[in-house]
Amino acid sequence: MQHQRLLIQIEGAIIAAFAMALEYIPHTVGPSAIEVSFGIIPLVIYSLRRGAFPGMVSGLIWGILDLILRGLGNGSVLNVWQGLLEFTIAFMVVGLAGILQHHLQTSIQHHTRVKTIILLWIAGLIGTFTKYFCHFLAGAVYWGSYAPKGMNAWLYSLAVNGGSFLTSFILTGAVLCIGLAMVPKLYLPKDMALNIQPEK
Amino acid sequence: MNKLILGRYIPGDSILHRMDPRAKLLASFYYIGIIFLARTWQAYALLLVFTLVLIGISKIKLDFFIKGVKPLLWLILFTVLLQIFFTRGGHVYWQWGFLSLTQYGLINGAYIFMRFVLIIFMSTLLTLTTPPLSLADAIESILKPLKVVHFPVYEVALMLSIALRFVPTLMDETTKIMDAQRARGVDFGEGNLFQQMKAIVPILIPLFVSSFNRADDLATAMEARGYQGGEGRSKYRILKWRTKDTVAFILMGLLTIALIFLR
Repeated sequence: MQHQRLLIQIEGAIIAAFAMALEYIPHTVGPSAIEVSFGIIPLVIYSLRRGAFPGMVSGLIWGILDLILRGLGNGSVLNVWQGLLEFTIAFMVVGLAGILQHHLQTSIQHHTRVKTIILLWIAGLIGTFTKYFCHFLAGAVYWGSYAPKGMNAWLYSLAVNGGSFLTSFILTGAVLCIGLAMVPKLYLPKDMALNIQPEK
Repeated sequence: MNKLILGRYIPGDSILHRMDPRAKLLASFYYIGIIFLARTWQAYALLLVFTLVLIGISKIKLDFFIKGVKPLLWLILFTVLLQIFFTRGGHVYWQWGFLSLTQYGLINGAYIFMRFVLIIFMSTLLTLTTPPLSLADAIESILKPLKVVHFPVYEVALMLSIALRFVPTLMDETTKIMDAQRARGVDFGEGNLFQQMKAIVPILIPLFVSSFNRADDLATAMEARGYQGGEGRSKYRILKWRTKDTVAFILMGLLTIALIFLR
């Protein structure tokens, strides 16, 4: 039990480092304001493997890493509330995808392929939507303190973050499904797979 | 990617380098908060002098700070231009349709530009004078009060230091796999979404497998060395709050009073 607890923590730490490392891969699609976040992929897979709470803790670690290694140096913290929202909560909520952990693992064990794929897309949707919803709120807070009075801060934030959300969602959903086809064990940790009896 | 340096710390021996990272982190956030109190040119002038004096004390060249503004240049210009052309009031210098160049627009544009530059200078100063590991220690220490609401502070601290340690390792591994893929003719960061997706999958899968294996090895190694969970563990790096850290906060307090006075 103690080994499993420690293993979950360390996997979470390494996944956060993995997500951070992926952010350094060159990636832009279309207009430069729209970004694709590759880091969401490992975090959603980890959340589906270990559950929502470990996923959220790992997300928090990724957020803190991003703040220390990129955010502060790039000057991305332009307002205290925007900074807190964008570098802690926005990364944490990606782990919410883990609420589908049990359903997904059972579905993989039972070989219900269509259901598994639908669950993976829903998980991708939860992970990306929650993250970009926070960025959308943070964007509006930021614009609230920088845009001239009367400008519609919400609309601009929606355009930028909505685009990023859609591209990240498609990417995440597709990679989650390809991951399942290639290495289904990604979603089934050794220690947990033993507890679920496959249906004959 | 090979030239990438994690964090942007520049080693030095100034007072700012030697300050407690907790004090630096909190003071920087506090500064970002109080900057919004500035409403007059005198207040902005005071903030500029204050920031430049700090940069002088850090003994780091101004070039590094100016470089820090570059990544956000377009965002800054866009915001400043919005302010200049859409703020109404005061003497009108020029008007064309819904665009107008007014006295208040120009003043607001200048203020917003200053606000951006000052915030970026201050956060750059924090990252240039504090190593990432110290920043992680500071965040861990700041999170401690959350123990009251059963927040897993020790676990988060352990995970944060492990994650920081593994970012370079995983980046090296990513680079290796990317080079192997490039040798097969893959272009990263180019093409439409589907081409990028096709390029990223062969990087992710081996990284996942090696990450989970690595975690398993590390957990076993830690247990073999008697790791029993975070509570009550002693620390290798101990943070010490000194007089200069208190002085920094007194200075921040005085700056706040001055900014309120200059409103």
